[in-house]
Amino acid sequence: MAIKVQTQTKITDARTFQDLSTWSGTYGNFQPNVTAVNTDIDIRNAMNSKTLSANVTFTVSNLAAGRTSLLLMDISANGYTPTFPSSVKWVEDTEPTWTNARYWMVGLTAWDGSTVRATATAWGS
Amino acid sequence: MAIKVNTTPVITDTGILESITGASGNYGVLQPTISTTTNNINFGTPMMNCVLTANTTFSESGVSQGKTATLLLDTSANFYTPSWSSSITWENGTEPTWGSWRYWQITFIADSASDIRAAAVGFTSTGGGTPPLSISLEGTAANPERFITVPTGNGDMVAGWRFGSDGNVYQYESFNNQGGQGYTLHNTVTWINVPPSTTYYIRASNYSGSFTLSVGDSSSINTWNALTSNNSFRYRDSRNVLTYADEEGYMKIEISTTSNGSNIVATGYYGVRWTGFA
Repeated sequence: MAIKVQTQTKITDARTFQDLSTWSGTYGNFQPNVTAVNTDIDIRNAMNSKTLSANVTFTVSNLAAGRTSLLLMDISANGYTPTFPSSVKWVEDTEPTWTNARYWMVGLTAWDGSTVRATATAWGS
Repeated sequence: MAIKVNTTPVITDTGILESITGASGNYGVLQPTISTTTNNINFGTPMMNCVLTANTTFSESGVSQGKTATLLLDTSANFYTPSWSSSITWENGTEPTWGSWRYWQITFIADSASDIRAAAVGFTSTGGGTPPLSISLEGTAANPERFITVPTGNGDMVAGWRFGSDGNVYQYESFNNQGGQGYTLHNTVTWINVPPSTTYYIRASNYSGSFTLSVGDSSSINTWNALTSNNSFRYRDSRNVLTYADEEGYMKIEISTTSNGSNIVATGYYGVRWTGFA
């Protein structure tokens, strides 16, 4: 049976917490689900993945100050190129040269409702 | 009704999960609440943002081993400089050159309560760290920059403007006024955008309105005063608030590079309106 506070379900029958306003305390083995991305990165999802099968133009949605998200990206052996929207600003004003490496971890942080600042770390030439 | 384990609430009536000693499983849409800070890294609010309005020294609180925090720092168009406590050790042993980039994303992780490791990445070049000099004032003769204050009847209504030696512009509302807090920063607007490297001079003159500046509550009026110290220009209404309706006063402000006003570089108009009860 779901756990409700007032009339709102806070823990579903599938043991999913939902509609929590704040969480305080500590956690141990508590890991993000991985969301497969098509072209839109919903920044509310903490962990995303994408293997490029063609050049891709991404969008980033649901921006709000402080929201963060990671994208695990494989540009594949063919070296496809991702394109990010102009709302994404890169460290030291320099977008990575994506074809320099195959695997990328892109960290996205929303500074407000319209600007994302991003980091990128590469593996595998 | 809150959900309790034994006698301890773990989900409050407002949906706050609290006093959790551990969590296991997976999460999806779970994002931090962002907190605005002015000079403290609070590990109890792990996602913070800050826009510097002056060079600022940060402290830390709520630090214990394993806690992490992120600060989204905007050094502003003036490229103010943050400084940090000795508890913080920077990546590769080198503190970033803050003047190189305007925006910084700084990640802190506590190795112990007194040992915090930090890493920072910068965004948006400052072009060398020194913005071009800009001296500016607000308001026009037709549309002065003004605010509205409400007297309470508990003492005189006093309100006005300050042009600080620090380059900032402040509003003044007496504690006798409703919500008055003395001097408060006027948004983030400055009369000069970098620390002055030479002496500038300011002159205030009465421009319009039903009231004129209070000589006793103001710096010298109609005089070129050095901006090496704060210059304040204020109105005072000592009457019973029940005896008058709305009043207002407007002043013309000029800034010159010379002590005789021969080179005026900025002109603005500022005012105050206060509401009487008659």
